[in-house]
Amino acid sequence: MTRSPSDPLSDQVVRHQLERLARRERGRLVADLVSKLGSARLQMAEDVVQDAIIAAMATWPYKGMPDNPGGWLNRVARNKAYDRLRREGREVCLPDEDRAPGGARSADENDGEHGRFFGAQVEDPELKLMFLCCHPEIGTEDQLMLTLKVVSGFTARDIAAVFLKKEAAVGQRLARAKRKLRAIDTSLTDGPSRFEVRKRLPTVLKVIYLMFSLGYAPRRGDSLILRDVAEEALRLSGAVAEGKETRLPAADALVALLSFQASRFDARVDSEGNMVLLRDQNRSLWNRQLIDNGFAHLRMAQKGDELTRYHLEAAIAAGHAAAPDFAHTNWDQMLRVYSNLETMTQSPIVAINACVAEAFSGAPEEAFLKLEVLAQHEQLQSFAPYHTARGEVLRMLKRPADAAKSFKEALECDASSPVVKHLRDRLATCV
Amino acid sequence: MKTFALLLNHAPDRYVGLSEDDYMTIIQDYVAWTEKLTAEGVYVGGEKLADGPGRVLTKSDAGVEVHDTPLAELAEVLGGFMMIKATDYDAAVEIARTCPHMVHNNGLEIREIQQVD
Repeated sequence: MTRSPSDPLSDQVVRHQLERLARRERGRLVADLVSKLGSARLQMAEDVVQDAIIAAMATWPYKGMPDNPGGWLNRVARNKAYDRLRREGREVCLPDEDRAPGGARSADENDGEHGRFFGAQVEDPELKLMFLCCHPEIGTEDQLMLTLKVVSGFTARDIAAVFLKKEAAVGQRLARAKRKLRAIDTSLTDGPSRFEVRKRLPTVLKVIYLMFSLGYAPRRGDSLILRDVAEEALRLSGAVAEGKETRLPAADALVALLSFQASRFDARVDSEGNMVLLRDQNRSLWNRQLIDNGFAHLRMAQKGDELTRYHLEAAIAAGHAAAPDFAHTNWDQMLRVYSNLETMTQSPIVAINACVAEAFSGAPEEAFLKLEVLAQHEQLQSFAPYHTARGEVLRMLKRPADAAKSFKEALECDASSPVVKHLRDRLATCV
Repeated sequence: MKTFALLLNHAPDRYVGLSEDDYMTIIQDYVAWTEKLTAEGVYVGGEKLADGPGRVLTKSDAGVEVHDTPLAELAEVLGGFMMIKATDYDAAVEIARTCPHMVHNNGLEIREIQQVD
């Protein structure tokens, strides 16, 4: 089972693969099993995948990694599912082979009037599971949490960090959402109708957006970017934008936004894993291919008259992508878009970013006053970027003692270790 | 080259109630070590012993009595074993020193495996 000496795995690769398996493969495995067992057995699918991961964690330290870890987990999870079904006294046969890409029934076959279409309109198994979790009977925020948990393999703690909530509360809500999903008419095991897909699309897009956010700026841990998570979100957004029933401007806008953000990954971290701010980034390290992809999807997103937050955020990201360097950023244009975005979202987090842009545009006093007003949002008190933004603006205003206080408050919040280091460095400059 | 068994003991409750993240960190250390030694041709193999009590057989006048291992009363349980190649005990000890078990647990035992020739 173990590798031959000619094929050594570096320490880093092993760690990365294990992390990836526990986090990323989980969703893929659950999605695969749900597509075979039916959505009524979502809980069973999650349980057997969890059992398989525990079995891997127990035995791999002694046996080494199998040559195909994902395949190993899949086989173990599937056997565990068989065992459980047998105990239920059911004669269920799980298709042994994974369905080959493009091997699904053709869209026409499922396009009947009452077509339950799931297999045809949404082919990606994880995307399918995502649409399932975004059931309208479950509250919007719970849909988001459930999808992040089941499809994306996030822990309750990760999700709590994204939603600025307590871990225990998130755990309870996840349990409740799953109970609801189980109680819902299980005859629709093939998934929602094509109209339902349209209805659920905004939630699915929001989940992908949040998934990317978590990967782009993890709120704890050793890495500045959970690259797998962010790249998976980018891939899922692409799958939505290409889907027959889901090919809508909002999806293109999301792909554009995520492409622009992902294009900066290599420039955001230096060789020692330290965080590099946008203004200091070596722009030649930006991924041109992703930027081109961003602009292409942004053009497609202009079709129709729908304007979503993804359109506006993509426009902001495009502004950065188009600027030759930080000094030549078109801040006036940025501020106009930010203003629209603030009105549309009413989000205090958007407001923080708008304040930073305003400060850079040459109006740090105004930015500071707005940040002071934002302090009334209690949840921002434990949100590191709020205090960081306040610290930066105070530094611009030549108030180092006050800036230091803000950076200290930022250090009290959850943050990934590169961000903590960055904040300590900034704190040291406040003299 | 001789073969040595590393007997990895741990406290019965060592892995009880660990968060998955914390458990994952420990597992990463072990798997990375196993993979490194495998690549070097040092690692021979190993087995994890299943959690939970084993059975103890004792012979008495009345015959053979079978009991569950009294786990709760033991300071340490055998969690599993690994086998490595080394020239002698000294070399085996040097390799075992680098085993993550020495970071995450209190100690381990090395026994040379009897060779036929």
